[in-house]
Amino acid sequence: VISQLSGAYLEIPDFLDTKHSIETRDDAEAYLARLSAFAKVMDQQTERARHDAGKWAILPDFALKTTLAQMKQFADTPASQSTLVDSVARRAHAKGIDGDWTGRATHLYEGEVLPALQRQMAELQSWQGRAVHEAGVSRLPDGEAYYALSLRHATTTDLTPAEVHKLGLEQVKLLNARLDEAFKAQGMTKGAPWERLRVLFADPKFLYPNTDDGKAKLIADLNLKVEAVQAKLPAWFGTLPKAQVQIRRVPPAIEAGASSNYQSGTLDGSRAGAYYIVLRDTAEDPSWLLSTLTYHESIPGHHLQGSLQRQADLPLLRKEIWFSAYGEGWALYAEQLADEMGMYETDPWGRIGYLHDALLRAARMVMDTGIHSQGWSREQAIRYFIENQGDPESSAVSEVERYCVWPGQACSYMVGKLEWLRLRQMAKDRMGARFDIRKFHDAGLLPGALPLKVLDRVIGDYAATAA
Amino acid sequence: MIDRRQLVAGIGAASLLSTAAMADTPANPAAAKLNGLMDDWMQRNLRRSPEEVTELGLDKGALVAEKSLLDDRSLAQVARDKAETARRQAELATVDREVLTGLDAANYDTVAYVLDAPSISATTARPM
Repeated sequence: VISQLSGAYLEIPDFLDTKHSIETRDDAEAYLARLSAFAKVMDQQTERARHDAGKWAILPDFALKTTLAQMKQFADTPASQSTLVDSVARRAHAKGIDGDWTGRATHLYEGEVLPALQRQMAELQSWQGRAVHEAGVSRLPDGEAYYALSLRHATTTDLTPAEVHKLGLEQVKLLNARLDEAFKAQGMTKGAPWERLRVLFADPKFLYPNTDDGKAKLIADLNLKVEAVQAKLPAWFGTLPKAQVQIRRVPPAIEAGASSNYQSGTLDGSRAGAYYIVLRDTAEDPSWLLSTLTYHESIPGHHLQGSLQRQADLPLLRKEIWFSAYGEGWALYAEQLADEMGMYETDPWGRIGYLHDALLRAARMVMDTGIHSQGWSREQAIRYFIENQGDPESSAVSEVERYCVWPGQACSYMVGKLEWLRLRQMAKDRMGARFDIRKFHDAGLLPGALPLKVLDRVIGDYAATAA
Repeated sequence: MIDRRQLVAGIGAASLLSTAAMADTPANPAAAKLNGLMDDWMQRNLRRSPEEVTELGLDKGALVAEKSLLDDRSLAQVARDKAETARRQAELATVDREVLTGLDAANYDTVAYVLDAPSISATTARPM
């Protein structure tokens, strides 16, 4: 329940700031009630963590260290600098709702939230002598079965760890060959593809100035990419998303540990679906990686898929179901689709970014299964990461530590993409001249998120019956 | 990455949304039954998860009280979720899967999959 990626201590401050709307006095009062409830749910998670630690599961030592460091940063934030306090005061005053919101939020923050956080930290600190360095869940009782189950759950298939590992290695090889070609076309012929990627990571010509103006320009450029791909959608999709995607910067208050992401909007569109990009330091966002990230998070990726699921004639429960293999698989397929749609005709470095990110998802299949089923150490995975795709060590560390605490999930992207591609080919083969890419996409997207085996049957039915 | 949750098992008796607005009544009685179950479960999910209510923008009107609450993260709730999942599996077993076709069959298989999949994911976040 608690790690460097999960737990109320991470989720609730962002939830209160970006999801809890404040229009009226009652909304502001409800915010304060939730601020008090935040302390209670942290205590509930502390109790659960204590229970789980007694039974079997504690974090590996490095994940425990990162988690505690994040908690300490939170605990060291005085009320005067806390977004939890500022968010209600700022928004209530902006709506002209009078009252001592700062004082009341400060009282709850200091009197309830921070003490609950301290209790949670004390529980985690008490594990420090017991935490081991071994990264894989195979260290746990029934670890092997637990991982096989985690992997099945993440991929919604019956693929075994060994099969996923092998698929990953095949894709890594294939994508390295495609990167080699793409680099040669740009006149970069020497060294392994990861060494050439490393040159791109270090090249200042791909960086925006690390200033407010530079960051504003970066977001403006992303909006242009979205407009360009939007214009091409009708040739590729029968049903189009009605809602426009928003592009926003992850709020500076929470950007330290965040990664870029997409968040669904409300059902009525009062809060639009938004693609949040982390802009701590523009050195982390070289322009050659921004195109594929944008197609993944917005259109034709998450925003398109999520919007169509919401628009479709489905029971509400089915509009809300999410499967990583289906949804992340779609978003990764969408990255390739952007290439097929011609988005890289004038963006050759962006195309290398697309191949880099595809290679990353292939390598995740190798590393995740390596760590959890083949005894790979954290350090072995970090080395593999760097010498496969050239990223700076800091990215490699946070990626690998993520796989360690979230077994299986990292494999869902490429497993899902390969299935979307396989089903597309199957429909093409069966339908011949009748195949229409727009109708294929509708057939796969309008039923909403499905386990991959169900998607297989849905596409099979479509290919058999569509006129 | 995205920020949403898996289907959460939930408890609660009150009807929170109008079911009429959610799904058309199909001719097939098994499909009608399935749609009724899904609507009921969604209402229970909303009662179970005030954070989901806010995520969906439903934290007003009949559901305004949910806006002051956060999701229960206690061990007792884990046990209640488990019982709710078992209850839903039993309810789903009363629907005749064999007569369902098309989207109804996909709906059935999807909710059956979710009820069978143990909730073991470490987080609900969706990173890149």
